[in-house]
Amino acid sequence: MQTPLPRRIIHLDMDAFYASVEILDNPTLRGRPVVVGGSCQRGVVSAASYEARKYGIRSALPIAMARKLCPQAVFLPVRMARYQELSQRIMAIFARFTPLVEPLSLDEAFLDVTASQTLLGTAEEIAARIRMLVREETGLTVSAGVASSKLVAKIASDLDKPDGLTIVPAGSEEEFLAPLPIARLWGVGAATRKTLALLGVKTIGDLKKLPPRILAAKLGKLGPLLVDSARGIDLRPVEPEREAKSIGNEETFATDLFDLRRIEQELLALCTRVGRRARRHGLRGRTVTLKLKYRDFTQITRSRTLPAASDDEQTLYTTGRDLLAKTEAGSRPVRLLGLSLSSLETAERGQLSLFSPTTKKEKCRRHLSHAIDAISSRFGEGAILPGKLLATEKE
Amino acid sequence: MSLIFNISRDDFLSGLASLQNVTGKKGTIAILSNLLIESQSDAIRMTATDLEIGIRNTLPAEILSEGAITLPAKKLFELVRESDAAMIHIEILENNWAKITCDSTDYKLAGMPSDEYPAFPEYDEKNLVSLNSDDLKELIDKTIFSVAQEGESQFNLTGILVEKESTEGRNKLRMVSSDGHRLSLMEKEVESDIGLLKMEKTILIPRKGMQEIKKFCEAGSVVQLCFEEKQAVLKTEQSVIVIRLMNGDFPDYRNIIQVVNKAKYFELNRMKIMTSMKRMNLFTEDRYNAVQFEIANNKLILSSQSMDIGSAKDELAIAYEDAPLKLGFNGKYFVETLQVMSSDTVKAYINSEESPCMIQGEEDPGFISIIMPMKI
Repeated sequence: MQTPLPRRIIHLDMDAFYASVEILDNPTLRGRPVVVGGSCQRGVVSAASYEARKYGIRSALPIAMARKLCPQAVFLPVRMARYQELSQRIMAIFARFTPLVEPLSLDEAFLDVTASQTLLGTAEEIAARIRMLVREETGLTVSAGVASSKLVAKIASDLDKPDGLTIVPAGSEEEFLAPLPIARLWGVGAATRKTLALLGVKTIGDLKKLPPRILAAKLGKLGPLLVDSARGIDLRPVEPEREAKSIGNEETFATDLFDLRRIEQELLALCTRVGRRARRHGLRGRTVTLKLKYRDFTQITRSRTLPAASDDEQTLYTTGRDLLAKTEAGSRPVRLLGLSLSSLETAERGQLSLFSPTTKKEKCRRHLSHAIDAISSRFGEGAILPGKLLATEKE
Repeated sequence: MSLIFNISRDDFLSGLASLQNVTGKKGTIAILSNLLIESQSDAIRMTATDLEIGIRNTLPAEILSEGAITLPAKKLFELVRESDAAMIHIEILENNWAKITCDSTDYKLAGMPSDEYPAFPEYDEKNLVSLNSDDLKELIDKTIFSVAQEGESQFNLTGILVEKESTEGRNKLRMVSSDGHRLSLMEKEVESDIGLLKMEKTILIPRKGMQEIKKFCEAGSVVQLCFEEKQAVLKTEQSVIVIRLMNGDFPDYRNIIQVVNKAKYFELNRMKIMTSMKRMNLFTEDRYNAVQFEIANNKLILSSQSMDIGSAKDELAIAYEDAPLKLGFNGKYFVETLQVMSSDTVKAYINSEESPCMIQGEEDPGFISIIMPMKI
């Protein structure tokens, strides 16, 4: 019997993606600290160029803090559409080498190239070619890690950033991981790190020296999992295209909202976006979920199942407003509002319903939605809006 | 004094079996997973309820001492089922313990006091109307399969609609069910005087209640039925079931039936299409069971495909000479409808890819099935 080929997995991670795109589009920024992030006072850093990172600026740091750390940095707003465009081009490059591409976000993906090797060269060669193609075709750099599992590949890609390539030959995973700090492993946060430090564990190698019994006693279920990780054992497959489970949008407000009418306006804006996204993907959902975060960060969700799957923003809005009425919105300051549609089904292939959608009014509304979608996609989001939302624009 | 009785094992077993479905399993109220057992002159009366449905039956027994107790329904059923004794002896001891003797085996089973058991709903015997149980069973059989699953659709579709109609001295009972994608209607002429049945309000009986009614119908040839403000009551000689009616309205099914244009149809052999459809269902995707229909020139081509498995195709001769049609249906819906019918030849009225399809058969008087196509 033939032993199966050891898996070869590449983890690709764009270097400071958003910031790099901004520099690409405006070369005068090259060499300067660039920070991309939210525009309102509560925004956080979405990405920082490597120059900015020298000042201690990291993702998720409040913008205000970043300004203090490095006042001379260039602060830019997020241009999601542009990043998405480049992301698509980069993912398309990945897809030339294997159908098994699992995107984790716009700028990061796992590739399983085990089977591609007979045709396209070793995993190391493929990783090098991908890095070259991304640079040539987009002008951006990507770091790569090649290993026999997702876990090790991801740790490897991060090791030599930016513009690095780290290869972990099959069989040498343990050796590779041993000297690295324990925090590199998934599942090790501040608390676990502290517990382990007390046991004298600083590196991944140290972890393996501990008797499993002690580890299990101190860490519970996480213990054996970490030992596997320390050995580089991670059997999770690369899963291409995860099917969307829900479509949702949420908004953190610049200042907390008190006025119910104002909150309803924001809700309508969310419903418009969610409806449009659902229609664009040809999906309809049966469950509407409203998410609300109050000023004190307590978060609640309220959901309702619709009689029939829908992609219509009016239906979403009426349902959302009913759900909103069950919350303390209006009497308690609201910091964040979100709306999502789940229990999705494909609109095109769905089973037709006996009772619902064919009323004349609903047919009209469906036509209207499609017309609005067409206008928005041609003239941009916001080219046509419900009247209620125009009022917000003015405010 | 506390309850002591002897009872035939077989009688006891069938009595216990009939109550199993309505004893609480979710455990919200502990005592609901128990049965109430009370002595009568020469019988015991057993009661079970899940607060939606209550069933009470009377079994002949030798009462040695009068009393009442509640005992765990499932355990009691299991131990009687496993016993091969002809007679079972039950004796209630202190603190609600029951000593159960089946031949050489002794059990001690912990019970709960009978006075904590919820009261059985009251009803007025005068309202009861006798019905042929086969008629009632047929009405249920031909509609229950298309009731919506709970949580799958609107709440008001999770039950069967019951209606009566009296014209020119002829009495009809009608049941209708729908899960939003298909609808089944069965009406049947009955000999009893259902004019006395109080049915002013929408009568919607939940699926589970209907299943229990069906079991009642299998037990004897005549049942007695009445509807009251909030409940349906069905009685046989030894048992009574009280079902809480669902609140709500049923969608306007008449309108749906009326809009079906009966000009265009095809005829087909029921058994042939049913078996073919079962074959197609082997290759459908789980979620929708989509089977493609291509109808033209006295030919019906059925096909299905699943991304993971492969595809299937079948060709059947039918009577159809109208414009060609290509549409999709949930294969499961077709099979379930054809299964309850008995005609050799059935007619399927189809107008377009998006309009409801009605299925009827000559030897299935009173039965209408409507199935919505799916977009393919």
